[in-house]
Amino acid sequence: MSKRNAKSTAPHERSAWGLILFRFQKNKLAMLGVVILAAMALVILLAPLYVSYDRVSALDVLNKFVTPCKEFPFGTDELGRDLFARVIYGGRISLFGGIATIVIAFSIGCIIGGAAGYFGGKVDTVLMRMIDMLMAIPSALLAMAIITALGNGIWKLIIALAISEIPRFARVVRASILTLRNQEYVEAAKCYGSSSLQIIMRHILPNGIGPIIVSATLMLGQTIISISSMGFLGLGVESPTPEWGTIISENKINIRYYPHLGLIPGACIMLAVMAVNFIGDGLRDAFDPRTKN
Amino acid sequence: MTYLKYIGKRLLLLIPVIVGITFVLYFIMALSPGNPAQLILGADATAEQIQALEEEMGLNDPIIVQYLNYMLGVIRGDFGTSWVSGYNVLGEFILRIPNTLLIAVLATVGAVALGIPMGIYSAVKQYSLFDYGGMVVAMLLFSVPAFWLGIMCQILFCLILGWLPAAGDESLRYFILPSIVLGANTFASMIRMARTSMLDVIKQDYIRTARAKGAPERRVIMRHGVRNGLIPVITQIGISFAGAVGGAIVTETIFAINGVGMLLLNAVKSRDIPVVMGTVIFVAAIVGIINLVVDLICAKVDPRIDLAS
Repeated sequence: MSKRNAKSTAPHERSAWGLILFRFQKNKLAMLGVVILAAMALVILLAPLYVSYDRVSALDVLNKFVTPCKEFPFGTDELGRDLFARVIYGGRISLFGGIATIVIAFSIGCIIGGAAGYFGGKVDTVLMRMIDMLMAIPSALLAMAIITALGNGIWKLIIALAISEIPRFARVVRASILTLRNQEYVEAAKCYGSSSLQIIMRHILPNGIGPIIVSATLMLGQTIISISSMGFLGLGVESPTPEWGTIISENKINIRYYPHLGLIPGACIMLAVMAVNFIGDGLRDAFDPRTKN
Repeated sequence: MTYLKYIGKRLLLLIPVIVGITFVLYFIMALSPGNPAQLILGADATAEQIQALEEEMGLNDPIIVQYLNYMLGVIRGDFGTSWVSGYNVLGEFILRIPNTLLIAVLATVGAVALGIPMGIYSAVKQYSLFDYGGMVVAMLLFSVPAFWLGIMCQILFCLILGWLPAAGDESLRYFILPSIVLGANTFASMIRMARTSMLDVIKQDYIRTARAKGAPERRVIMRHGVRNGLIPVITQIGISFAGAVGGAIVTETIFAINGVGMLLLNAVKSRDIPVVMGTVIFVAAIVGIINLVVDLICAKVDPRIDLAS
């Protein structure tokens, strides 16, 4: 068998990560999720190229409640604002704000959960008691309490949501590390004098990262919903700043007569969340094929 | 007796959790900008009036003293008064909690009663049309934000079809739609959890043994399958209920139900710290008790779970 041939067909000759990628790519729903999410991210990131930010708040009373047409692809609202511009720029907060929240919660959760799991003993007890404390409150309530203290603002909202999500990450990371800490290869690394940091970064994280990435992806979907819910309630982001939740909130009474005002931003949220969930499910199956049924 | 001892121990463990959470919240809130005395007296208060009230409220004491005074009050059942309305926080909470608990309980019970059987049936008839349909419904409900679902249902069922009242909390009829909207997410997770869990169990050897000894399929599924498969699902119910109490904020806002969620939202918007603090403490206590009940149910269903350890 030629080497080229083997490389292209037999999955058992791939590296561990290559195998995960291979399984992920074979999952049609997950790939669909990647395509949808990438398309949405590109459209949102490249927004300044085709619609100017001024359109977000430009009032046009002569053109209010326009249903989607050639000039206004998503129609206009009761003030004649271009819904297309508002939805596209709103995605910056709803989608990328969600990603920023997860990145922050993920990093801090990894440090706390990692320290608790790896060092064990008193460190574990103290850190986990703190985590239990935060877990005692529904995360929506915790986020709202933090916003009360911090006040409104996009970054403040992101921080509040990140804090409310840290406990779950810390739990997952800790559980993942506890199962790996006593493996033989970690013992071996200790024997030839690796530092704690080296062991965590080199031996434990690469082996335990799977479930952590999966839960981060699945939580990203819920975070996008949380951000838009907060926007809907007028916390963190306030109208007229465009955000998928605030757009729905400001059009709430008119949706009955002009359904596009509710359907379009709602569809954006659902599409983004569903794409993220597809990717999350795909990653879970790719990391642990036993769970696939 | 072991049950009582266990319940007592768990309730005692709730105390440090609540003390810790109030400690953290109190300090964040105390450090946040804004002058409470100004907030209470309004914009046209004189500097002397503000100073006098600050003195009276003990706002000039060190934060730790303020916190200890607050906690002494809490122990006596005094959670202070709202800075905005001047009402007693405990009274406001007790007035509103029945509405919130009602929609949260209706939502969770409905979602569990429908979701678990659907999940089990999906697992038993894996790859059937029912299974795929259930998975699609679960996926959709999992991805839809509750506030959007709420507004859309309100428009369709209340304004256009006129089947149910759109807003208010006068009778049980007013709670039907809010409970459905609030329970949608739990329903989705129940279908998924029950299905996954049952699929896991069905592959086990003891299921094959049960079939081999000639037990009817119904008994195999109900007695050997469901009883083992439900433990993780029951744990999820507790988590979902806590989520429903949090999610009630959005539902109550949409359907104008005067519950704890509305109380909290208004307090957050007006920075009414005593109300925020009080609400968070009460909800943490309720969630703690619910989790205790869930653990007790788990132990009842699965005798392998040892409460003593």
